[in-house]
Amino acid sequence: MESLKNYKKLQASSLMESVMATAIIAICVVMATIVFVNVFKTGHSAAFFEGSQEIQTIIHKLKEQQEVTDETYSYPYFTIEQTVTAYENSTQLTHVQLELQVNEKRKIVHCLINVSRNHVD
Amino acid sequence: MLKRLKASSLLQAVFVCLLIVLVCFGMLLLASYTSLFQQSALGKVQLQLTNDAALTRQLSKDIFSEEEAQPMSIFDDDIQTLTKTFDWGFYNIVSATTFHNKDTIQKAVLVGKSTTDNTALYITDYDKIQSIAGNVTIIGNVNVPKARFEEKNMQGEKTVIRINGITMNSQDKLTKIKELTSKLPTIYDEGFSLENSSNQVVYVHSFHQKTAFLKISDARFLEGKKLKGNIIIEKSGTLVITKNMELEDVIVKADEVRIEHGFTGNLQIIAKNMVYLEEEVQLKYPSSILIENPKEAATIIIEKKSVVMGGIVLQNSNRKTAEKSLITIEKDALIVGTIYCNGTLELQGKIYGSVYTDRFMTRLENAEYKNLLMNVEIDRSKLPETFVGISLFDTKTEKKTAYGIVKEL
Repeated sequence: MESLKNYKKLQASSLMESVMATAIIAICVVMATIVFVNVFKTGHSAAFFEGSQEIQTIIHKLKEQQEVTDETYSYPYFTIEQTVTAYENSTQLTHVQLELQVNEKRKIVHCLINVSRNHVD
Repeated sequence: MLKRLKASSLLQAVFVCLLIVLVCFGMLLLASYTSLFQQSALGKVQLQLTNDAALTRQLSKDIFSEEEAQPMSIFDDDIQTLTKTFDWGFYNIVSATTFHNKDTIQKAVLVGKSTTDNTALYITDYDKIQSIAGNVTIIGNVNVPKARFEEKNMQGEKTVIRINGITMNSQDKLTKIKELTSKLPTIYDEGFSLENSSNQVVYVHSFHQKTAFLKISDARFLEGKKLKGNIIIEKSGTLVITKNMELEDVIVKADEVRIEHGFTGNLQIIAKNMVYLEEEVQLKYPSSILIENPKEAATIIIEKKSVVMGGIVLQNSNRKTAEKSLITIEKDALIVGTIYCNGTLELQGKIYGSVYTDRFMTRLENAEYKNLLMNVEIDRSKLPETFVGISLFDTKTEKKTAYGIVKEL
């Protein structure tokens, strides 16, 4: 008993303090989760960049083609819609609009194709 | 002795929260920068495509009339483009500058004319039948006096003729070409001078800037130097180009130009009287040689094993100088492109392209034979499909033509 008296008194956290600490940590974790989810949502996905690269490939192919028409290209994770219109009433130039769609995200790219050049015989 | 411990769950919770906030802040910062980078990268793709579209739009025009247009939007968006066109010797330069916010993309291209004209040989009709001897190969359409050749046996050699194309009558004069020397930039970059460029070994002058005009009195100034781009070099008298000079895309002007053995480069030569290419000189595509309206007889000599890719033009305004003017293409020399000779052509080398000449001449053991074509190859079909040649004739007289990009600068 004498030896026990030598120990100092330890002060424990009150129940109230523990509850508040748990609450604060819980709020922080919830907020962090929201931030995580939003951060991952804001950036473009790999599919979006894959689609952008595919658009470049399509434009290169269009420059070699003899005829350019409206078309829809479907891929596993994205689609590209090609819309063709005349440019400034020109008989040679064609305005091609390519619209990339990945989930809800869209990106529109414009380019000009000289169709007559592709007809060189 | 045990230390006094204080339980402090609230303090620790705040500390943990602070850590979580820091991690979240870092992530937000990273995400915002990544997003900015992605948007900028995607924006640049459209900027690049708009710049290419501006060049395509400019190249689709029949004639380059506008010197410098106002900034305009190609796709009716907020991306502005400024296009500029000017003549550069035989070719044209088209430059496009596209800008949006703080991003700018510039591109300049050297433009020539691609033609579907399949003429391999054109000889002016002076009422003299063209003779041929030895091994002669002509692939492509032929326009000769009276639409026929006369075969001759020279030095006991067997005559082997291979003509693959339509043979037609030619006219009594060569198709007139448009004036070329007047089509050089006249506004020069005042900031460029001999003094401030004399210390530089490499000098590159962009086609987005005004033309740099370099008037030199001594060709040694160019020794060991590399000059590239929008530069016109002029010298009175004879300009000797040696193999330790590096010239690319530049225009060279002098009374006489002599290129020494072993030189390799890419340049347009404008001379008044004479151009002499020593053996094994390589003028890479797109290069050209021009003598226009000389006061006296003009001479262009291409020695053995030399190569000119582009074209050679000798244009005379009066008949007297035309009769005395001469282009000599020595044996094993190769010309890829067009030869336009308002005079006499002495041809022994190979031509991959077209030849327009008043008359031919062949030299055999100190004897000269006029109107004789001997042991030559003129092949229009060996010209690459992508070859964009020099634009010589007016658009009206030239058969179906289209502007094509020779090279990106």
